[in-house]
Amino acid sequence: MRQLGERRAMRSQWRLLACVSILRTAVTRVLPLAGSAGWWVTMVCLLPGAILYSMACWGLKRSGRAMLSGGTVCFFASAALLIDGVSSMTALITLFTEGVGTQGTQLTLAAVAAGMLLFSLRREGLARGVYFLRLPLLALLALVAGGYLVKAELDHLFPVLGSGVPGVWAALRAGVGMGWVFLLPLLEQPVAARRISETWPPALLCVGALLCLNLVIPHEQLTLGATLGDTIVQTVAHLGPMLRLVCVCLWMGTLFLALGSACSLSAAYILAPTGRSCVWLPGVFAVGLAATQALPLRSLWQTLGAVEPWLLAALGLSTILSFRGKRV
Amino acid sequence: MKRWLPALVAAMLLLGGCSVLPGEDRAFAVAMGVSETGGVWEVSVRLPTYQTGGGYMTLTARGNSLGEAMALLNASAPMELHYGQLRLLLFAETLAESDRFQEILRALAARGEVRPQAVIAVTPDNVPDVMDALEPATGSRLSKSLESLMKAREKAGVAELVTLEEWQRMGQRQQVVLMNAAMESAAANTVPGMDATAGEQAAKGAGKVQFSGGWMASHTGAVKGELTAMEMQLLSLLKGKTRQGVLSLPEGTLTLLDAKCSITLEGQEVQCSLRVRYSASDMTEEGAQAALISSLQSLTGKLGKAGCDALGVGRKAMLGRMTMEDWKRLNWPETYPALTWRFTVKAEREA
Amino acid sequence: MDQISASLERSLKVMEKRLFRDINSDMIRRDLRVFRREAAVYFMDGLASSDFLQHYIITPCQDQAMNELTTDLSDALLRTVRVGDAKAVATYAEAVDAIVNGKAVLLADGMPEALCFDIRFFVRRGISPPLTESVVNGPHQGFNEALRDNITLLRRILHTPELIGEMTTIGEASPTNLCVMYLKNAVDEHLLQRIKNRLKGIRVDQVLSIGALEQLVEDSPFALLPQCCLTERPDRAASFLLEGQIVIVMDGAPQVLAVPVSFLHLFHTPDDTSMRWQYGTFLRLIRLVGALCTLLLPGLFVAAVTFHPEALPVTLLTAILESQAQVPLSIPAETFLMLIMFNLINEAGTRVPGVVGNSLGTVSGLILGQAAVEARLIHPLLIIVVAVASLGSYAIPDYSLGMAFRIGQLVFLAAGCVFGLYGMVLLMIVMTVRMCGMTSLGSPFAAPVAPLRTHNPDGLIRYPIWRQRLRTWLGNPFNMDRASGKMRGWDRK
Repeated sequence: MRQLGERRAMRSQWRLLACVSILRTAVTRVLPLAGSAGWWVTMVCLLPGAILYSMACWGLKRSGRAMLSGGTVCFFASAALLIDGVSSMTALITLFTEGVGTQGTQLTLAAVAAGMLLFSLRREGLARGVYFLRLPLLALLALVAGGYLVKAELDHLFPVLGSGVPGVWAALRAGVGMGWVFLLPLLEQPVAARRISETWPPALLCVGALLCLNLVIPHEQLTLGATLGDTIVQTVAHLGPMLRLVCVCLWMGTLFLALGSACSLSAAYILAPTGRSCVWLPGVFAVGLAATQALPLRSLWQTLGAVEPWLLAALGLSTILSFRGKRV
Repeated sequence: MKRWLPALVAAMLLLGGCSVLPGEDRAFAVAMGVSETGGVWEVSVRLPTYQTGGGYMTLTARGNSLGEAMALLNASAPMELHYGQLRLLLFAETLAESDRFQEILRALAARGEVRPQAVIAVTPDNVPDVMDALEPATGSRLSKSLESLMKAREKAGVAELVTLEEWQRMGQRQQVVLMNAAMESAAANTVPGMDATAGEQAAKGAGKVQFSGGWMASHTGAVKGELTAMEMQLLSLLKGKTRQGVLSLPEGTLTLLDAKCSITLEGQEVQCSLRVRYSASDMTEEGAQAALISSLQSLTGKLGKAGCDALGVGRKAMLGRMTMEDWKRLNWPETYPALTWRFTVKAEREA
Repeated sequence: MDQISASLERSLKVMEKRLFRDINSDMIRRDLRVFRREAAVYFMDGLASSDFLQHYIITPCQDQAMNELTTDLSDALLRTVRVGDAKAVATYAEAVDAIVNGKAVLLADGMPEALCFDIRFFVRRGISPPLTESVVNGPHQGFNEALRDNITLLRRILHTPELIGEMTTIGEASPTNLCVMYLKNAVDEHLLQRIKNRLKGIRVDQVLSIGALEQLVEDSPFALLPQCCLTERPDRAASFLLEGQIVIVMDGAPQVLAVPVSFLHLFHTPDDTSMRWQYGTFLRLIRLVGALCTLLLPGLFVAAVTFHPEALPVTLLTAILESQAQVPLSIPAETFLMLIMFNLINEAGTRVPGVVGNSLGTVSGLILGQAAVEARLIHPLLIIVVAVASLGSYAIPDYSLGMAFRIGQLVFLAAGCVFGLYGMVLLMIVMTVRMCGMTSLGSPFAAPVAPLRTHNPDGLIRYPIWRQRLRTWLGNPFNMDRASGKMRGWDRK
């Protein structure tokens, strides 16, 4: 039971990370390109990750291994988490500067966030904290979804292909890598039975959230937003004042927790092949993520946009290589 | 590390936190009015005086652009203006009829502090005069009074409350009918019986300002013509918002008990099926039917001419489109006015 | 060379020196003769009972003064003296320790050991109702400062030989007696060993209070939240023991220390269990709401008015700003001032004794608050906010937790003043994560919520008592059941 409790906490952490990563990528990269097609394009983007996950599960079963291991896959997982962390940090700071209208530079606010992260990065506290907060977060999400759905119009899901095939294709290219998070549980503690259904909760939640957004905001409005700030602000613009506050707090809280999870998991994975642990490494990663905010926002976001679609490919390839090296 | 970390975070918080003005040093505008004449922009705000016992004042500023006028307004205000509690956004008719109207609304929506739930209205009268005339009818709070009055008008069907946020969500597939806010002397918009419906108190309205009737917005965002209070009631009936109440038609009145409407688009024809149940009217069922059809045709003709797809027929047209290119090829702004409306009205009279 | 000498003369010399008898008038020596040998009894005036000494030690010994010794001297003396608790010690240190603890020590010529007789009888407070943990239903007995009395109170509730009380001492210069109590079948041996190691590892001159002991054994001394539970109530301590937790009773302290605990334990009161489950659950939820009000209400008020006025109903906002326009201070400053004033009144009320102390709070609150509002120094709504927040802190049953929340209230207020609701939300997340990472004697502090643990359904919602079939996760994991079969065995449903 004690092991089960800890595993549940870690699973919650992974699920939160997955939801935030997928939703953030979908809202900031896929929606502006796909428009009204955003919700189903996201589903399609998640398919490669889900397929790779089930293939890896099958491979683990066949090889008699409990989980993925190996320097390469751990390194790529760690790197993917850090890149995702930079995106989350950028989104969080932009939420403050453009969504909330906070005074202060990008770097200063990032330093504050990093400072608070350093407070939180303590042993298993983060995973347990996420598990503790899962129900309040879900309740708030339901509240916000309710606030959206009262304004839903079915025709906002049309045109089905949004801007057309080029737009959908661009959105697919931008979001195809977002399924990389599905491979993370395979690096965690061994789980007796792995099924494709492990990927459903975050996938369903994110697709559901996007469906809410698509039902409320018409295509013409979605594709207006050019900057990261615009896209984030759009997700809250159509709510009442109180719900808008709740939604911003939800974004902020989940991005923050995802950042912390990225730092701690990244540190765990990079040290996994050595069998050692290091208390201060997550803190170093947190400070590093904050330091990236010293870069110009536009260039940073563009660079991340170029790199993120390749995360699944990189992690997938390293997963395949880890099987090749260790045939039983 | 643990010891200096809290000090560092505290310092960062103080440096990077919201250095915001205390609430008591800000004035929350309840209503805002914008007009433009000959290149001169005029912005007025109605705000509380924050004296014990209430009281409101109007501030007006002029500039060569909207931004300049708002900046001057802020500079001349006794406290920093905050638009987070706006209830009413009023625009002059001339401004609303210009092609820049959509742009202005977009600019205001983009200003984070403007309350997205503020109702947009158009006035044919002088904006500062209208703002000055806004007084609380009930109690001492103008905001509450305005909200109650506007809601009552919407419920009666003589006005439609379109907020800034709703306007943004319309996109290209539907247009809005903005509320008319006129001074009491503009009697054309007063419908006999409307005051009785709204009540003596509410008829006094927000001072001498009447919220009745509407302004049709076209696909470019500019308003193109007015609708009377009666026409607004019919529009509300078609939208399904009004199901009960007194419906005033040129031929007479109908006391509605229940109403159901459905609109479908088939090719170039809009089929509108209306079923009403009414009581204590001097009209026969056939008479009511004919009166309704005639009024509805007049209304939809007016909407079509103005290019105002207030009923959201465009949404139905959108349902069949695969891409935005398809939609653009449909050329809805040209297609909509050319649509044929066929009305099927069934009027049931209760004993 | 601490070994007691067979020569009485030598022993007396050592004892005289160690007890500082030349200057310490409390140390009494009574010389006597038994079995034709010289002997002496040492005792401390005020701690040992003179009557017991006279009737059960001196008189029986004197009766044997001229008799011949037929067996071992120690054996004979043990049979002569009519005291139940008698023990032989071999070193001077043990003998001195026994004397300072109130026992009488008998030394005799030819006996290379000392006999310690427990004739303690010192002035102590009787059993009275607990001062800080009153209940509606339930016993009204509280611990007092006597270790023996407190152990007795626990043994009167738990009539089982499995209730173990291991005596130990802490403090090097002036040892204080402790009793580590636990239920043998229910306790987790690892946790028991851990607390014993911690107690053994304490290096101080003396531990004066149970609170000081708490600070010496807790996992995170810098954390705001307490990780142990202090209780004045024997019934509550017994419930901890039944759950598999460990209770430390300290001589001189009218509270006992229960470890390990989780944050949910700090919200429980014996009232919850004594009442029906519906009432118990309701009261717990009220306490939780009170706790959240204490922590968040002032900060939320300031954040809403200062940073998020658009979220407030405009009528409320206008009313606030109209009255705020007359007040010289800003809302954050007012709120801080009010909270500091409240804490000051609270502290003054605690320090001022008796009836005056009770009235002080009421009078100060009314007069100061009312006068401040009329003088337009503070906002009327703020009085209500601070009053509700303060009431919430009183609803928290654990005093330490209440203090933690009152300090946290100021931290959240600062976050609300600087960063608005967003700062408060971030801080809440950080505090939750920190709390989840905390441990109490190595056990997760936020369990059984996070991480999930098999537990008795008596966390936040108090399930019916017949559903509470398990001990907590803090006890022996191999003995979690505490009921076999149906609890309401008579119920055929």
